[in-house]
Amino acid sequence: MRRSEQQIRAMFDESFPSPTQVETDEACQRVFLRLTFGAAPAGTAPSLASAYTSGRPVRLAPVAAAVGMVLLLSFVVTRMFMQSPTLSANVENEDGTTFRLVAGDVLRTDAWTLRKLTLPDGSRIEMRSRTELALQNASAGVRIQLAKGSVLVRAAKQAAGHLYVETKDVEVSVIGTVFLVAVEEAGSRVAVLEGQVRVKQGAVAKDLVVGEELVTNPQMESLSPESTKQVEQPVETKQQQTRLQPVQPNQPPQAAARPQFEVASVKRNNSGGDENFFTGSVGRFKAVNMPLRLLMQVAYKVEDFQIVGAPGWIDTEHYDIEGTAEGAAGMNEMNGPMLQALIEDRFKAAVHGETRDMLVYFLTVAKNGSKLTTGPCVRREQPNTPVPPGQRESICGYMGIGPGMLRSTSNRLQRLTDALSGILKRKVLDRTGLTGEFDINLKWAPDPAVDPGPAIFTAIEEQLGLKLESGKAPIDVLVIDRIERPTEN
Amino acid sequence: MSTLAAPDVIDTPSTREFEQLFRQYSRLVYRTAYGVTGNAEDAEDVLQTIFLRLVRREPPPNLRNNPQAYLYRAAVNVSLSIIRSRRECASTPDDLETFESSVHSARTRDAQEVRGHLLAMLDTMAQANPEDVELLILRYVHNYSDSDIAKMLGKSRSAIAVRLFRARARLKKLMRRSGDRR
Repeated sequence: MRRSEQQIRAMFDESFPSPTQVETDEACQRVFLRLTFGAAPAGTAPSLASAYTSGRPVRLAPVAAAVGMVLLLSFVVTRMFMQSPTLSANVENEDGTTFRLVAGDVLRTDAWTLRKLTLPDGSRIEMRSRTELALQNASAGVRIQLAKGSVLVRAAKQAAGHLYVETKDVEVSVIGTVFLVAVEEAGSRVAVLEGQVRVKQGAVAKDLVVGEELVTNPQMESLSPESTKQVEQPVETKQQQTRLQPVQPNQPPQAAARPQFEVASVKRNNSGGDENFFTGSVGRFKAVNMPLRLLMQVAYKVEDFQIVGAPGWIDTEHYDIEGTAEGAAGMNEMNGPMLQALIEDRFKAAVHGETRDMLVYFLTVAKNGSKLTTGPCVRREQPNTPVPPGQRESICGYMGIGPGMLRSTSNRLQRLTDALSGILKRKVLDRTGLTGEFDINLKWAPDPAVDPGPAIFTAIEEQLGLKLESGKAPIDVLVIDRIERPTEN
Repeated sequence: MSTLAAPDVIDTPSTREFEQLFRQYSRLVYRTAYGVTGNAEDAEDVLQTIFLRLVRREPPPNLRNNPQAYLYRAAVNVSLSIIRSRRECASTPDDLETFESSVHSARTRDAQEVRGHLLAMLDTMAQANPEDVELLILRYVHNYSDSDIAKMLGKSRSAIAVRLFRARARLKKLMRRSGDRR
């Protein structure tokens, strides 16, 4: 490479940081959330910075309309003028930010996001993916109008009045219970997890108790695959056009059974692309263009150096994986035990854990003392914290890693050692004895032979006043006893 | 905030189209913005600004023709305008020697100064030849090959090679000019 080319590359490498894949995905999801939800006076130009730092969603009626809310418009407008503004609920986004939903507002989730509503009486409603609902005053309580998707309701004990969940064809009323309501193309579904609910369809009413599930269309499948017998108990009325179909209660899962994806597909990705990512929502998991090693790291919560006995192809062959789970499986469950089960089933993997003495690095304080500092930052749970004029805010807990750079704001050293473990491909253990949260801006030459700047070991000592020392320590490892290429479905 | 000619969503977009566009290109936009602006907060602002405009303005034909190229260009331009508005790149290098030494001695020079110099030059280039800046970022920030860039921008590989050569030459000229000023 010619000198001028080297010089330009060095300039760019020095000046242009790169976000991690996780940071990129999280940021994209946050922006998508802000763009997709909310409604504000038309023509109001939002302040992007303030919308972001306040933690409130950007309120963009034109955006919402343009991205497909036309169908809901008449509903929204009608409700906005019909409902009393006194009723409101607190809405919590996945990132912990909150905002207030008032009667008549429509709230949505997309495929990536979840939201939780807390009603004035303490009832909590978990919106699953691709759900639309509206909050309404009812004559004796609160009504949730569920237009599509599904919600898990944890109803508080009602002092007076009721909590109603209404779909296109049923109304569910409760006094204090946990239940799921889902709107599907063919009809609606109600499943009771605790307590009792009353389901009304037209003039027909039926009480459901814990474990029972109702569908409004006989063609709809039960949520429970174990339910082989459908006990048909039609509500006796001639006016109804569809009949409530109770099915047998879900069998509780065996305590020792590991949760599994209900449906999963594994396909080899031969695109040769270098972009890979995880995505998903409640009950849905997706990994695109992933090497098996990375999938195992995620599934078993280990670093790559903790996986031993692996054949070479787990690094070179990439896969697309999609899984659908029953019920309200969250990402932690899906990318943990469910992904483990999938790997062991589809890749015929047999693994076991053991502890081995392995080479590690001990992070210690250098002889001249620590140079770690800490500065002000804004916590995500307090997004409305005012930032002094002219000062850029830093988000506490932020960490960015790129080629030759690591930036971290107000994090414990554990996060630094975790990051360094990934970079150095060897476990880094904190032996500094330092407690508290620190800001870190570390820069080094990824390849000291060709890149300008110090090696990472030198950089850590010079810039942070810390030192990496090689040693041995017992480390938990995941031993692969057997693994095979999968048979695609 | 930006001098960018605003894009719009493709014709009358459905939710699915918008989602697809966002899913497909938001990472490219975010990474580009992160590199240029240097921080996550601004990068999110850029991403939001660009996709917000997709649903607010008249659709330009080149968005339909090549959405990837269009959104990438938008990311570069909006990011540069943020930098410009913050006056982070107000100063230019005093001389080439200082600049070169700053590039090669990260331990002794403030990296932010190097970044400021580079952004100032890229901003200058963007006024006259915006495509130069786009090509340089694709090559040196995203590490795309000539073929990758050609595919993305809908050009021939040889055309990209020639344009990159010229972009590098213009950048070096700017660096020399900065040195001569002294």
